[in-house]
This record gives sequence, structure tokens and C-alpha cells, in this order.
Amino acid sequence: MVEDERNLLKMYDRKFTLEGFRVLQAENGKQALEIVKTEKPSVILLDIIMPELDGFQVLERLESNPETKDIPVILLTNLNQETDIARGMNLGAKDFLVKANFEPDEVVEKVKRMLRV
Amino acid sequence: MEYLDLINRLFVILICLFSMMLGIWVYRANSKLKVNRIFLVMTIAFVGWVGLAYLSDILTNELLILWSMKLAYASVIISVVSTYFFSVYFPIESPKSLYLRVANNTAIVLAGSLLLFLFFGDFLIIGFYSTGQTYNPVFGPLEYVLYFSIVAITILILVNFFKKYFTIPKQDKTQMAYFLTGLVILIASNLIFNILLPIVRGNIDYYQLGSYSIIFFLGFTAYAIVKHRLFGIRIILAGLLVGVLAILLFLDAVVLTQEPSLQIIKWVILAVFLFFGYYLVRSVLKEVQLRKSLQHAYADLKQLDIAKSEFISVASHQLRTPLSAIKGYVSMMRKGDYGDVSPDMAEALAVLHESNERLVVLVNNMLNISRIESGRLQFKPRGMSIEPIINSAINELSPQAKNAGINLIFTKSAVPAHQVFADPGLVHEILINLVDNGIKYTQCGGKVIVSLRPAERFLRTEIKDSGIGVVPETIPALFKKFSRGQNGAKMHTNGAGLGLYIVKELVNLHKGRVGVRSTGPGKGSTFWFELPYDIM
Repeated sequence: MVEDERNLLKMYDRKFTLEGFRVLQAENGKQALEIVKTEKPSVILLDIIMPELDGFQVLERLESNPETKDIPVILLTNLNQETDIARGMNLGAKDFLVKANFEPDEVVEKVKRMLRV
Repeated sequence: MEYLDLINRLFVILICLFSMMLGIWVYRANSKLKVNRIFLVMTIAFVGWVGLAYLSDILTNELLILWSMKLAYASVIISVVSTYFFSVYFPIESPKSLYLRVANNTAIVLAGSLLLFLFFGDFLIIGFYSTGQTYNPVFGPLEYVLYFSIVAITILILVNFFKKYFTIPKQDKTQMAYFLTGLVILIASNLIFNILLPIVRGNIDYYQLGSYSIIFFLGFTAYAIVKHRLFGIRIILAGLLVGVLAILLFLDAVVLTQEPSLQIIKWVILAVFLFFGYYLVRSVLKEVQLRKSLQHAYADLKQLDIAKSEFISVASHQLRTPLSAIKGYVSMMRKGDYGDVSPDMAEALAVLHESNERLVVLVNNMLNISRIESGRLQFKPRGMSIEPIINSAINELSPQAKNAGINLIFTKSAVPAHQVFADPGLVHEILINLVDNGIKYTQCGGKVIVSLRPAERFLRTEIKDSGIGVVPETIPALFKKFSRGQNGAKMHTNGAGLGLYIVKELVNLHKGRVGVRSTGPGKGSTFWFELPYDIM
């Protein structure tokens, strides 16, 4: 779960933990890339506007690395311009969710459907 | 003949003066630009051409006649070669290439050798003869080389421009069109009067007519360079027209009219003409200045509008972050993720949830408006069925309808409707806004019904509610920005009056129609929109 807004990070962490997931937290892009060096998450929920590295840059690096390019990435952001969506999907994101339009329940639902669990 | 001579002399003086004014005007507009400097050289060369050619006709000293003739031809050569370099730098510099280097050198070598042959040795102009009225040059062996070189450089000029024409931006194209119009007039009249007629008829009696065309060429070009500055071509043309007519009237009064009484009348006519001519030019000038200031004001407003939209876009994104936190936490609390919730608390959370939802819609709408108005909204229509979109909009708004105690129904027809040509995301947006509107303005226990009504060219979607209805007088204003029906404000204070405006803009984008009918206050209303069928 890559999210620079602490309150949201805590919230999603609680929701996913309650649903039986193990959540790895990162507050910026750099931390996220550090974590994937040692752990291999089943899915990455990635915010876009963040300090250090932004979501697009993280996505680019994940996709260009053979070790991480198979990890599905869902962009979870408050940007929703068509250009942002197109850019994210072109970079290889599996889905694009606008935080303000989805409840945590629905986000969990999407992840479960993607992982078929 | 005296009469014609006088006209000719006046024309030559006017053209030379006017051309020099243009040259200096353009140069002073921005003396740092290469194009403007080359234009000044062009102007001096063209003025030299017309002036010296005229001078050679009225001089009496043989040596002076020969030299002014040679200098006139030198001016022609310089005119052509400077126009060539103009074509390299106007309206934007041609990209450097091997072709361009070869063409530049060809133009310089041809022009340089012609100038050498003109002044050294008996190759080009070796003497002159009188036709009675004017003097014509006697050419040496290189006469046709002169014609050939001028035509060759002219072709290079045209090639430069046509190569550039297809790669430059639209606004530069307009600039170029002005220049090319002048150039075509110049080339056409010179081909006819200075090359075709001398060859076919063997005399150059009409060559002055060719020279006169430079005024069009220089005028159009000057305008093209300094476009959007000072004044426009309409003033040049109006001034030119008034000037030429005044000269003709003057000549008519002075030269052609002998009878004193008639002369007086003609003087009066001239005076009246000058009076009105002055006001004509002045009013054109005023109008152009007015238009210019309007254009500036318009550009400023547009800039301001873009800044506003940009601000809304950034602000909306920033607003969403806290909204998503509220949404998420409230939703988890309601589901018991943070412990048990008492019935009272559940009620409070429901209110919190709904208020937050309204804020989300409002922020989304503001963002949509900023996108619509800044032209950044992406519109990708395709053939699509509307039913699934209606289903998803209804699913999304069902909880809200349930909370408000409203029955939200989609009455499907037995046969699925034809596909419409529309953008699914935007149709979803239209439906959310209209259904949300229906729920908002209907009391507890009421109904909101969505149905489809196929028509001949459009598929009509209707959203009928049993709510507060619409006062007929307010209908025209309903789809305007920040507008709300008369009763609306009483019932809900949290609407911003943006939803219907967005609906109208989005439907317009699809070239569809949108409207509402209501039998009056308290009797419900039916909002509808029509989308074109997919005919592919």
C-alpha cells in the first residue's frame, strides 16, 4: 500500500488487515521500491502524487524490472483526468481507482476479484 | 499624353514615398529581426527600380540615361535576390539542408555575376534608343541570361515558400497567404509587362505598369510581417483608394477641364470628396483600433478563464483527499470495522455519509466544468447500449434513494433499444446528475422512474419524478450555470446549480438535446435527454 497521506494509509491498512490481508506500508515511491527488493507483494495499491518518486515513476521502474513486472498494480489516486488515466494504463497499471469515488469495501472487492480470492 | 505623363509622375512619386514609408515602418517595428531588415533592403531595391526606371525616361543627358538604366536593372536584380533571402527567413527560418545551401549559393552567384556583367564590359546593357516617349535599353549578348536568371531565382523563391507552407502552423500560414498574394500580383504583372510583352511585341512601353504592382507586393508583405501591430491592411487600402481617386479628380479639374464654371464645380466635388475621404480613412482607423483593443481584452479574459479552470482543477484534487478520508472512515465505521455502532450513531453516520457524498459530487462537477470550459474534456463517442449504463447509475444511487425513502425504478422495455453513438463515461455522468437531481427534489415516499423512449433519429431517456415540480417560467434558466429552480433552494440548500449545466454541456457535446417538462409546482417533473443512434 503506497500512500503518502498517513490517515488514508492507516485506514486502508485496517480494512485490508480485517479482510485477512498482510499489508506492507510505504509512504512514498522510494520506500515502495525498497520494499519490493525483499518482499514480493501479490498486489500493489499505488498513489500517484507523492514526494520522492511519484506513482508514475514507481510504476515505470516496477514494469522495467523483470523481478517486479509481474506484480499487478492498481493506481489508487485522486487524480482523475483522462490523460492521467490513459498514462497510468499505458504504463501497465491493471486498474485506476479514484479514492473519493470508492469506499474501502469496494477497493477490497476489486483487489479480491483481481487476485481471485 | 501630357495628362498621362502627369499621372505617371504622380504615381511614381506616390509609390516610391509610400513604399519607403512601409519599409521604414516595418524596420522600426522590430529592427532586430532579420526578416524586417531584409524587408527594408527589398523596399529600397524596389523603390530604386521604379524610381530609376522613371528617371531614365525623363533625363536628357545620354550618359546619365544609360547609368540610371543600368542602376534600375541592378535594382531589379537586388530586388529579386533580397526577395529570395526573404523567402528563406519568412515567416520562420527554413530548416538548414543541403538543398538550401545550394539554392542560397545559386541565388548569390547568379545575382553577383549579373551585377558584374551589368557594370563591366558590354554584355547586358550596351546602349539605348528612343521610342519617342521613353528610352529602351539595347541589350548585349546576355539579355536572355538576365531573363533566365530572374525566372530561376523566382522559382527558387516559390519553392522555398511552398516547401514551408505545409509544415508551418496555421497562424503563420495566414501571414504567408498575405505575402503570396502580393507576390503573385507582382510576378504576374511583371511577367506580362516586362517579359512577355517585350518578347512578343518587341517594346517595353508598358513596363511601368509592371513596376506599379510593387506597391501591392510591398503592402501585403509589410502587413504580413507586422500583422497584429499598429494598423491593418484595411487602412492601407482605404488610404490608397482615397489617394488615387483624389489624384484623378485633381487631374480632371486642372488638366481636362477648361471651362471655368465646370472647373469650379469639379473643385467643389474634389473638396467634398477629400472631406469624406478623410472621414472614411479616420473611421476605418478608429474601427481597427477598437477591434484591436477588443481583441486584447478578449485575450486577457481568455487567459483569466484558463487560470480559473486550472485553479479549480488543482483545488478539486486537493479537496478530494480529505473527502476520501471522510468517506473511507465513515463507511468503515458504519460497517462496524471500528466496533459496534448504536442506532443513534448509525443515523448520524448516515447523514455524515450522505453529506460527504454531496461534496464529492460537487467537487467532481466543478472539475468537470473546468474541463468542459477549458476544452480539456476528452470526448470519445462509440456505438454503445445505454441500458447497462442506466443500471450502473441506478445501482450507484440506490442507497441514497433508499435513505431518502424514494422508490428508484428503471422500467426496461421488452426489446432492447438501438445502440447510441456516445461516450459511455459521459453518459454515466449525465445519468448520475439527472437521477441525483430527481432524488434530491422528491419528498419521502415519492418515485423516480427512468425509462427509454425510442424516437426516429434519437434515443430519448426520461427521468420522471413525483417531486416538487418546476415553475414553467424558470425552465429556460434551469440549465444555466449556478441556476436552481425556484422551489429548489427551499428544499435543499446544498446544491450549487451545476448539475443541469453539466448535463446540458455533455449532451450538447453529443449533438443531442436535453429538456424538462412539468405540469407545475408540486406535480413532479420529467427531465429528458436525447442521444443520436449509432448509424455505423
